Amino acid sequence: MKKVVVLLASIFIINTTFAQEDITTLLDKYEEAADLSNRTKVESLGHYITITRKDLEIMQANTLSDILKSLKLHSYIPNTFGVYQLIAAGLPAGLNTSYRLFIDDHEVSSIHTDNPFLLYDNYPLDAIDHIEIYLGAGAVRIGNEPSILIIKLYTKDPKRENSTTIKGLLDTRKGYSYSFTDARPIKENISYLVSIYKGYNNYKTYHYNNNPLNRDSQSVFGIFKLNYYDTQLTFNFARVNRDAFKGLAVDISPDISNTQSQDFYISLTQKLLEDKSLTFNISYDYNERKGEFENKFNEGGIFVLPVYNPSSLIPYYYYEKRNLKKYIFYISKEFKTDNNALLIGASYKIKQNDVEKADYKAFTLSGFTSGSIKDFLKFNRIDLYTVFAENQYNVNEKNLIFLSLKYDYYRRENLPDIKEFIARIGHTSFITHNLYIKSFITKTYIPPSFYELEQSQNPKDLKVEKMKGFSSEIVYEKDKSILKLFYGYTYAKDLIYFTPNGTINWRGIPSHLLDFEYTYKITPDNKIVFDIFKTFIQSSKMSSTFGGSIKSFNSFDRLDLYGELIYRNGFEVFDKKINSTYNLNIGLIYNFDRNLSIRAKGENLLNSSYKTVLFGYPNQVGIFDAYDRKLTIGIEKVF
Amino acid sequence: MKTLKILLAFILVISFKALSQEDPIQVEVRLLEKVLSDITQKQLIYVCIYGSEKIQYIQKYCTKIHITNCEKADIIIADKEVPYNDKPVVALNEEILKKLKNAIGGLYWKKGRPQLIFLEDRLKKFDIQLPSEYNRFIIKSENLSQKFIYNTNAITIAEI
Repeated sequence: MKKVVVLLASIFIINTTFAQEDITTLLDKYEEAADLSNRTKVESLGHYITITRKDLEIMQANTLSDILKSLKLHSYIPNTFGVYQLIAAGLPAGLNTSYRLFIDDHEVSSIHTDNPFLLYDNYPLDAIDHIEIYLGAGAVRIGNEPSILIIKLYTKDPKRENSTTIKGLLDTRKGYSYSFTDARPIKENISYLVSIYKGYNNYKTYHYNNNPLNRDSQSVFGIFKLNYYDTQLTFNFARVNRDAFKGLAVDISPDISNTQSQDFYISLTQKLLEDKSLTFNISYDYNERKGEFENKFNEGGIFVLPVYNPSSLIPYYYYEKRNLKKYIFYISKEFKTDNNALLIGASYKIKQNDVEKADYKAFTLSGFTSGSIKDFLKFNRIDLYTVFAENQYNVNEKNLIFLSLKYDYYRRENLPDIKEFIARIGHTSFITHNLYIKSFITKTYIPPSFYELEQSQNPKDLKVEKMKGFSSEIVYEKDKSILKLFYGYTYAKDLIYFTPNGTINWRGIPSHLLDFEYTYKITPDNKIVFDIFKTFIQSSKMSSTFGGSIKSFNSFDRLDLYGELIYRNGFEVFDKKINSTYNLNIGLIYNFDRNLSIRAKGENLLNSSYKTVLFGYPNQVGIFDAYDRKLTIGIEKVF
Repeated sequence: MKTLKILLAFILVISFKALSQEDPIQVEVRLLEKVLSDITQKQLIYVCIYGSEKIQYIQKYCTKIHITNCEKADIIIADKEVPYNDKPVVALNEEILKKLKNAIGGLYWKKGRPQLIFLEDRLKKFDIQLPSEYNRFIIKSENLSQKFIYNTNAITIAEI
């Protein structure tokens, strides 16, 4: 009888709750609950940051750069080739091989460098619904290569779009972009998305030793996705032509420095069985890279490692063309019961690096010479076999445990095989209804990329980077406030490090990471997010180690307003002092009739962008702004 | 008691996964239920679901909606053309809202957001009076092609 009373009371309460909801509140709740990021978030992948569709729209996040420049515990700054790189706080803007970028479930990192940013640093977000960023090493669920940070871009769902959008942007630095996106269902179970973008970024020209340093880029991106029942077919195309900043110049003043990169992939994914628990994926990636570099030999020439020898031979011109291919075969199966989810899977990946041209011209003591370094590159194929398993188990109603294990076997042409494990244990616990804690202990590794092998004097001896880590996050959520406190510890051994004598393994370094984030949701359309972080590392600081941001998202009837202030602390490189920076960005969107909007966005308004530091020989240090001050105006029309 | 425990454990597993998020299907059903109840002004609404797969979870979660055939229904929910023009229809896609002369309104997705729209003249045709909280979602039929995209901050065409 008591149970019946309780049940009736519950029904009454539920009904009363429903009755109190007006239609606007219900629509708000529906939109929030149906947000696609709720569907794609994977707890076991780590500590995640979600940027929802609504956030992206209010932020006027036109490209990936607009999101990553304020990412906690990191800086997003251009490297020696002018490519924006995500780098862990304190480290130099080199070429990091442990960040992974996915478009839906396809990894788009360069086959040559294992780094995604060469082509995708300014990837347009017109076709993207939401973004998830997973902090933490060793997630195996994706069955892909090891990482310490995963960025997942999820394309728009055609069934939710039903529209055609065109957008054009123009900025005060004479940069521009325009895009076309169309997505809709054709029939009940057939739908498509197509998006095409063209853009030009014109960055400020810097001068070093009276030589101009440019990093302007022109890019074209296209994606076509077809969904047919539970099969998804994707074609993606990217091309970026870039003035490659310092490039390979030994000093910081190249005479010629430019690169052209193209990427194309086709990916077919099929979900089988009634519960869609069996997944097949096959894909083919093709990268083409060209680069031309020149620098006077009496200014140090250019750094073409296999032949670079200042006492006898100094290359001053280099032209390279290479074609890279990647084939992936993937299968996974998920077994679910009421309180357990087990995922097992395997993949086979082939990576090929075909150097078509690698020609140099050089100065020698006996006169000028020329040649090719192709013959030095004899390790151009990797076969990677992977098996993995991940289990999520609800110990009780308040505790969830994740266990992940992955075994990778690399068969490398003319190099020793690599056999490595990734292991991960995670735990999530609800301490109270408002408070939960999530922690991971991880052991992982990062293998050397083709690029790092090519840059090594002894590629056979270049070891994998090994990492151990612990991370924990406490989240307290009540009413309109969400507080997050994050702590991470990593110990990295045999780090692959770039030196004038090529890549080497470097001793181990421990680092501690601390982050605090506070979100105040005033209404569903108005919120403030504040975060502050500090990284403790023992090595020299080549970028900021302390920083934070405050972001304000506001949406009124016809007006969307966004403001962000990104702070990074100052640091010292050799004898050069770099001041603290305050990057202020403000965006405004005016919606005429919700099908037509105009937008204006001011970037780096305080002219206090954070810096990138480039090094040249001998003892040259160049400090450059990572972001220019500019105003972008644009128009978006929906049909 | 054991069954209750298992049921409770199951609910908690599901809720664990979703953390504090509500189940979108349940919210959608609540939304539909409210819309239909406000249109018909009835405590028990006889609804015909034409073409849509929503029938499964409407039956599962709704207390006020009784699924019936289209002849007996107070109202029809449809995502394809309906051969009954004497009953009001709530369209589940934009095309049907435009095509069917007896479609009084629509609930569907566009530009990544749920849209709720009612057509003033068609509401009149069926003598339907919606509560004032719906005013911002009511537009004239001739303005359907200019329909707005955002629901929650929607501006009616009349306001523009």
